[in-house]
Amino acid sequence: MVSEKEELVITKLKDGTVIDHIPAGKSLDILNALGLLKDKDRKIAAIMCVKSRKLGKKDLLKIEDFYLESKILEGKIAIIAPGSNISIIKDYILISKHEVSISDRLVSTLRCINPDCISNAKEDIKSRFDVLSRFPLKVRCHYCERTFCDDGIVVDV
Amino acid sequence: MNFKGRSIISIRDLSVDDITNILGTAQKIESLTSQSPSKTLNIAKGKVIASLFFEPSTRTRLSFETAMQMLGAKVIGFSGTEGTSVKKGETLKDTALTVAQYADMIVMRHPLEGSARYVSEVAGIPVINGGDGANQHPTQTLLDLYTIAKRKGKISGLTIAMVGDLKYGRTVHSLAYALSLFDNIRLIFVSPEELKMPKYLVDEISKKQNIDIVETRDISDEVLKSDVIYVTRIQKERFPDPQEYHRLKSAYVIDAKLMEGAAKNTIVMHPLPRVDEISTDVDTMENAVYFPQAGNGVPVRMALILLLLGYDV
Repeated sequence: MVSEKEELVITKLKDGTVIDHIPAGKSLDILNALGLLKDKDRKIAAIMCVKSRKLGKKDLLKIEDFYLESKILEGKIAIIAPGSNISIIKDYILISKHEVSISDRLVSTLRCINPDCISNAKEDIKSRFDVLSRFPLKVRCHYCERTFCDDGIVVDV
Repeated sequence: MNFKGRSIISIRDLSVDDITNILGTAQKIESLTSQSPSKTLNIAKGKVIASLFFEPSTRTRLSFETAMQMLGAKVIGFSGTEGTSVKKGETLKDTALTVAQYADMIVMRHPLEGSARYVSEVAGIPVINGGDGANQHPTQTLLDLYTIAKRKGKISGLTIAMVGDLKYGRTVHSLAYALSLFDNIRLIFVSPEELKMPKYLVDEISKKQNIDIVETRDISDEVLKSDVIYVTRIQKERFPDPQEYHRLKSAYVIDAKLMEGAAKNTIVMHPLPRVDEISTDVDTMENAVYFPQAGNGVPVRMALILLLLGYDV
């Protein structure tokens, strides 16, 4: 939860997306993955390292006039910040709210770190990974068939 | 399982029934060709098969092209990219789409991992992977299994020792995985600590039912008495210290003196090329099957071509 005092400095979101329960320190990674770090015209509130009953400390993002409905983008958030919530707000009303999830197959979500993988060649090709396990996350590249976990899993930005 | 129109990209795509079907078809083909005066079967006459070898190959390309010729198919293609549009910067996709206008099937080898999978997704015709970098070489695995089944009469219930570089060798990775699909297999992995079978693979195949895995550094009596000794080359470039390479290399040499301790019916296999890891004095022993093993590539590849083109044998 954001404390009452902290809430006072953040304007209530009229239209857009709130991403809550982000593990502390991951909000900038999410903005980068969503391609919003370089978007100078977008109003974004990034609240970082606030107290959370669930996580101890958490980040929170409020993004104006941005509706996160792409499964690919949601997959990226699920990899960076598992357990986070996405809320869609329209005219101050909560339209939908759900926890991000990782599908069995991740398309255009991750980048294979194997330099010899065809998915890194100059070809018209989308990355594809099969999820072998979720806890801990372990994935296999559909093309080079290599298995990755931990630092080997890189979100495509 | 109907193979018509499918591609053979990875051993992981095949079930044990698929493998049994392919090996059974290869056996029939070998029997039919031995009865044919010309040693050929013109079953695939009128078909055009593209042999696209983006990097050098001896056994794989020659045995594929022999298989194509023995089936009566026309062969087009290249070995090495010199003189092709690849040198002009053409993408793999464009090369595949172009070749698919001329051919009924593509057999390819390419240095990038996953390249054959990609071509199979864009070309619209069956693709057989003849090796994609360090990743997969499924027809090698199938001819290895065919050799084992032919020499031993079965695959299930056998003890197979794999000796040498188990870390980097794609051949032993695929073969170990394929063997784990069969029942009551005992695998003995013999390698120096630095070249052990990757943990992810050992973990994965350990989960299969009825498989027994032993990892050791020594060519023990049990290794010599196993049904199959599958030897791989230890590559010099894997070692920063040349002295370390020479020490390890000499520890894993199969020679006639060592083979005195082997069982009479133990077979010695090798995917070739060999360098020093099997001494030439083993070549004339009954245990040595590595050259016939290479020869088995022809009926196995004939079987695959026919199955993917939809022919019955």
